[in-house]
Amino acid sequence: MKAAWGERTVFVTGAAGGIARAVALRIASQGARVGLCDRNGDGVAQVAAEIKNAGGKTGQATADVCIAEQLSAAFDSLEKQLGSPDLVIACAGISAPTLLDQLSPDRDQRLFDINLLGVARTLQAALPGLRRNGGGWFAGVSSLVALRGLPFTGAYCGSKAAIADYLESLRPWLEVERIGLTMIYPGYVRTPLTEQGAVQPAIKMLSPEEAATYIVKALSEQKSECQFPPTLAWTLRLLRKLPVRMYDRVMTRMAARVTHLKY
Amino acid sequence: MRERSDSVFCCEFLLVSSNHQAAGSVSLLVGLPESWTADLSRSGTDLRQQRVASWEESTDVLKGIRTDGSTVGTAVLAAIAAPRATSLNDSQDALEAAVSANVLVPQRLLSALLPEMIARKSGRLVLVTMDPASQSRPEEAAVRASVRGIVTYFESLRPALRKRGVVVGTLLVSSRNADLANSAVSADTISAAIRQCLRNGTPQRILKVG
Repeated sequence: MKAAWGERTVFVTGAAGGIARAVALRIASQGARVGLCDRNGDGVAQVAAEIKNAGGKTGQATADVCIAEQLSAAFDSLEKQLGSPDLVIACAGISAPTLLDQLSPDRDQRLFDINLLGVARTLQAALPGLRRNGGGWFAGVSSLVALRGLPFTGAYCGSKAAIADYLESLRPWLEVERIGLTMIYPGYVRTPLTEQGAVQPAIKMLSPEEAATYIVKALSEQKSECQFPPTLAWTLRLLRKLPVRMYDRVMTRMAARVTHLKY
Repeated sequence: MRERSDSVFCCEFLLVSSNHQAAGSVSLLVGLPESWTADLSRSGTDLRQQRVASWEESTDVLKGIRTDGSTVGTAVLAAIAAPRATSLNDSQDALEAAVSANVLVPQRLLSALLPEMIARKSGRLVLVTMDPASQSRPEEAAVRASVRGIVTYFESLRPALRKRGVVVGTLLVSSRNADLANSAVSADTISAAIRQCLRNGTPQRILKVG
């Protein structure tokens, strides 16, 4: 049953910056009790201060999503501060390029560890609280670029595609426990994460606040997925349907426009 | 790759001397079941099988090839580990095992093989894995996620590698048989599909078996 934000307790990972910060601030402004979690303790404290200054209720905890014990302890702490969560948003993630001349399995492993396994660990950490709450909602953040493997971004696309498939596959088991799922697929948003990418796209990037508008609306309406902005989502969905050889030709032409990297 | 209870990974490397490749060029088969490679041996290729007990030894194997003055001209990498969960509670453990075998191993192998192939402007790689769409049940979530991850990774690299003379293909095996690796029924079909992908440079093929 949908509840107004003022009646909900929400935990957000990656809350120190970017999209997660914007979503946390927006939800807090609508009355929710927001638990902030990030490995950047100072960043989390700043966001918490902003929420409190605006009259909101918040809790904070520090945890690295690569360490399951830290996540469990952080969620236990947030539950003590705010109560059991109704909604958990797994937003922590990183980006890094995959370049043929600088292949780095350690960097690729880190991407999968944070973007895929970090979200899986977040779900595991969230389950006890959601179960105590009698159910709830979980939101995982993938990416529109995960719809197909784009140039220069192999490990990032792979990790984001994997998390979408993982959570979608678990949907029936989550439903049995009365836990709903929203998969979020942002396009290009101006955040520290996109600045870590190899290629800055020649398209208008959304601000984190614009992204938060799409996400909070989808979570309010308990949509099963949220892909934005609509035009880019349509474009990438069409790209997904291209035959393989045609797709490779299109990608080769697109990559040729990137002059500062060797393709 | 198989994960043993003591968390040591075993890699089976099969070194195949292939007559149609350049002298000193070997074909490397990693992680394929014995039934598939037995079929390849019946096709007339000469096989040497070497078992390694850790990741470090796998890089030693590659060093050994290079020390002999040989190069890896063709590589077939299998990502077919299928750890399954029984509930939400163990789904993360299954995912970690699946990612370790199906994502991180091929990535490390690629980083070891590609620089030389790129420098030579030649090479052929085939990734053999499961079709993510055929792994649709919750207990298969880890498998589906891991193969989606590595297939997307390969897809991202494929056009760039072709431009540099390295032909990459992905063979997606779609099967309702949970134990693909031990299914003798599909061995002939899969081996034939691998040979076809290598011969024709097929970028991606979905093969329905069993």
